[in-house]
Amino acid sequence: MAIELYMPQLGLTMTEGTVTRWLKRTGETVKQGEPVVEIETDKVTTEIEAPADGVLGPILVAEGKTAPIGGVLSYVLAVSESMPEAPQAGLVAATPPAPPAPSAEQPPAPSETQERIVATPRARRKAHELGVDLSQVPASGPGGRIVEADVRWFADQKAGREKELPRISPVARRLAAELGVDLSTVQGTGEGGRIRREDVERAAAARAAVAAAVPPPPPSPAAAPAGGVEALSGVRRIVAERMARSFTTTPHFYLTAEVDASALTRMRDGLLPRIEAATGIRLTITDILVKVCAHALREHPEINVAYAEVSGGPGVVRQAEANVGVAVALEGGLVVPVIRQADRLSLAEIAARRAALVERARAGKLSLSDLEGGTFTLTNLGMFGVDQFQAIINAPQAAILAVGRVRERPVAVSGAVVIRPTLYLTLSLDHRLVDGAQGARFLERLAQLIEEPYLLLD
Amino acid sequence: MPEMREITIVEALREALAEEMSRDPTVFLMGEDIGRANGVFNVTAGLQDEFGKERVIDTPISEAGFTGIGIGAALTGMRPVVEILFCDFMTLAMDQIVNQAAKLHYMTGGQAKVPLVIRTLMGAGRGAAAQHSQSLHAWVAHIPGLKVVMPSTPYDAKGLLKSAIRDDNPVIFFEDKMSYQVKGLVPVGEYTIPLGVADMKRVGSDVTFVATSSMVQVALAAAEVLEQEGISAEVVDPRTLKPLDKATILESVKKTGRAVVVDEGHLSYGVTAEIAAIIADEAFDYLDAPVKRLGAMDVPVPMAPVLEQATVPNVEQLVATTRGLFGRRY
Amino acid sequence: MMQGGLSVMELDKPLLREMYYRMRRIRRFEETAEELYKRGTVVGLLHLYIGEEAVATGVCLALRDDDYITSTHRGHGHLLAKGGDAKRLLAELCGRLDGYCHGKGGSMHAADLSLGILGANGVVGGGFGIATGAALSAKMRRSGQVAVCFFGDGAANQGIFMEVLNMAAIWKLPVIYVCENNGFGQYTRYEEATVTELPIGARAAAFGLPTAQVDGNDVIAVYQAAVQAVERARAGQGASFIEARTYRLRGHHMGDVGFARRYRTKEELEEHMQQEPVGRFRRWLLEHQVLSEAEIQEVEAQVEAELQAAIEFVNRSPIPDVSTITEHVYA
Repeated sequence: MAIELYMPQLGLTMTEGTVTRWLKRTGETVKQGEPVVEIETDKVTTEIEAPADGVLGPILVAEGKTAPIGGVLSYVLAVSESMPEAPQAGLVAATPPAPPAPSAEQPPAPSETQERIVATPRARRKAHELGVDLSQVPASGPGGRIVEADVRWFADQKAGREKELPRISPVARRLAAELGVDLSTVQGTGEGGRIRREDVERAAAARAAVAAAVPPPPPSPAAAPAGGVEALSGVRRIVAERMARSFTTTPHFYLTAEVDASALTRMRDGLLPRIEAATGIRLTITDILVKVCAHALREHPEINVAYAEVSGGPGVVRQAEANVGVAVALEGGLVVPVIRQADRLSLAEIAARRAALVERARAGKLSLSDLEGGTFTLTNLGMFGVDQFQAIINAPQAAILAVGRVRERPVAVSGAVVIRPTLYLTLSLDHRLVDGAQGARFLERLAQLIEEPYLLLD
Repeated sequence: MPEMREITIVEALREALAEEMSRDPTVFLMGEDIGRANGVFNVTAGLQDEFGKERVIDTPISEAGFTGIGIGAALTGMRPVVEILFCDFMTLAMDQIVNQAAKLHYMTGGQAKVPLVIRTLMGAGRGAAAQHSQSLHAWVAHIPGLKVVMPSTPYDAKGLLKSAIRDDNPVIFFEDKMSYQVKGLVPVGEYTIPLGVADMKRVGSDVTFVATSSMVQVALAAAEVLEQEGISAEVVDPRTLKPLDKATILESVKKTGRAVVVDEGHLSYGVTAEIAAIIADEAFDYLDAPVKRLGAMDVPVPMAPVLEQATVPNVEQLVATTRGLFGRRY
Repeated sequence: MMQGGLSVMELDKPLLREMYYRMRRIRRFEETAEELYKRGTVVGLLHLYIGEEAVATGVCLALRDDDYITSTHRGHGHLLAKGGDAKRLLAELCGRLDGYCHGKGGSMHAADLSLGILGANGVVGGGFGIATGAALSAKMRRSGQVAVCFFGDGAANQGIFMEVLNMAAIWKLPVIYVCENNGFGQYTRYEEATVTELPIGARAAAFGLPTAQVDGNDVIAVYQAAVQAVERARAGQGASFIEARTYRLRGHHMGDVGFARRYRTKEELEEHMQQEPVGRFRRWLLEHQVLSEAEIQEVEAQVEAELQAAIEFVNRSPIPDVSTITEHVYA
């Protein structure tokens, strides 16, 4: 019996995944649990293990190609099973071929001939109703059967792709052609994001203003300097997309405060040797700040929220837990593993988790659960000598805290200039969900907890 | 809202009998040990004291004879409720039930009416072995002219028994051995439940369990387990096999797309096969998985408890069977 | 010649005339059915009562209209003797819409509930439970009704017979078990299938029932035994048993010609023909000057007219529409 190797769903936001590397070749023996193929999603890179002992069948999705959830990548065949025909170049295409024949007596039919599509009556009925071609639908049912949910999913995907194409009024299209405006750069303001004539006119005016101020950019990628444009891949590409989306769709505002870090550093210096002796892990300022953020979030649930669309309009998700994501810089990009319910953890526990997450992140071994569920993000560039910066919100969260380095700075205390260790906190907030005063109160509480950390004990 | 209280199936049945006997002087009871001995399972306890020996008749151990007598009495103006202690012994009265009671109305061109209720016991679970543990409801459900009732809760038991007694047809009323002490809310006072109306014992969206008698409890327990796994099961209790509320079953399956039929009769040629066939036949285009069936194993019911329990569908089997209907979830 | 040990003077003429009328009517009905069967108008299984007319007649004349009877697969005689309608019975035999059961039951299930005729029965011994239950019902309702269970010597060997005898005895039910011993159970002789050292009535006697054994071809003897049993039942004294010895002059059913030679000789049959009850009673009526030849012929003409009307009734009656198949499955 051929067992499917399919693109698994690894998270709520995932719709497809990319095959980054095949670790086994067609015909190679695989053991149950042995990694067979490496895949990458918008959040994580992971390996798919062989579901059973056997031989790897034809590779249906080549390296670098993407497949939808449930899409068959290959098969694991029983050792005694006859090999399906060797995969031809044409076979490694968008349309998946029929599953290999289950027994030696029945050699697989060539893929050009009528394939028997195994689908439930309900799935067939739904496919008929929605006008879906069943041969295009990935199967998720037992034994590779297409069930209704597959058809619905497929239809939704199709509809989603169609919906993503911007709708443009005929007048706007003609005007854009006349004015030489790239419609993909135009934000539609009409119903459902429809691009109207006014949008094109506004884009043309903005372009004219920019052109007046700065030298013109290279006219097009085709005329790029030698070496050409390199497509972003993997985590870098995802970071690029997500940052752009957050920065362009989330109305940010920023609040900054300088905080006395004397008590914070004393606390860290006092606890570090004890925690290191007990766990072997060195406590960091970040660890304490994670605790501080989580504590403050519990007290300020209005900050611990996420933006969501609800029936086409803006909505808010109120989070039950205070889960603090910590931005970790990697060579290929940026990941934000999450320390869940940090308000309930001791500093030693936070340090241990942070250390484990960072280690996994650097090794590229983060699991999806390491990355999911964050309700707030902390980013600390103090170790890089940064005094102060503004971070882009990790959408759909409502806030991110950017922390600079602790440095001795002159401050005025009771009319006298004294030298104190201080640090700058900069809070970025989503103005759709949070207003200035709310953000200010939250920032004030953060400052208070840092300056008087014994308040964490109340 | 009527006043409710929690009582057992045994108590609910006793109330139904007492109320119907008070309401209608033609209703009387006959069977083995139902009077002086209060009924082997206590259902008729106290009724002989209340209604007298003439209306609560202890019979000799003569199933064919007293069932036949019940038919004769029913033909001539009475409404007998005959108790056959175990449905295994219904075999002794099969000529009476199948050839006489079921057919008299039809054979006489509508002249004869047989308003007879046969209460009998079904089900494994007490180590009673192969001649005291069968579930032979499919036998009688096979016969046109008979109505077949199998309640799963005290509320249903009372309302259905009262309707059975008032029905002008022979009704075989199956009581489950293990369910007698099942408790449930029952309103104080008069109510009936029409024969032929299924009850939705649990609402769900992903799979339909069609479950009868004691298997309703199994289905409800399995549904709870599956809920934890994100599978939402709907439980439809037909309550009567004849007449069968096909519409409710089909409506549920059309909604969920999946069905598991669970019944304590033997799997082969039984109730599950009939209901599964109806679903396959009339809801084919709505099915998202093959219709599955769970019934008693095709072996005589063994005595040793471990063996006995293994022959009857249980929660684990139903959960596992249901899981098998789902692939990867979206 | 004595009939039933009663003198002529003790029986009034209208009753005796009625006896002859009912017996003659049964005989001619059965002969008509036999003829129509040969022609294919009567269909299905047909068990003829020819030779046994005195039993049903004698018993039913002892009953009230509202008393109950259960009958057998050989049941036309019981229905007619209890006052049933020959037209509707013949129509039923022919599978016509106007038959007693609208063509759904036929010969073996003819019934007339309005006359207490709870139905013929296709199962040998099928009436035991029903008749006993009707008696229980009558007793509970204190209606004064009695129930008669007609059955054959073959049915006496069914187990349920013992069950109902026991219950009829312990509950003192107003039921009369009338065993028509016609010498054969299907194609097997009575003495080969049944213990003969003791009469069948000994089984009922074992449960304490009073029993009688009578010449079943002597309508007055049957009548007399029935009257006694009915009186006893109505008086609340319980059940009785009557064995009426008679002889089946036809086969088990129409069409078993091939079998007949195997279980009885032509001589035996001819010998019993001499004792057949209808001719015997006719001779007795003449001999005892109860009825004149003219009066008897008047009765016979009445029967012929009735049967002629029945045939015409059947010819006019439609064959049931298939749409009626699903009627009467449930009440």
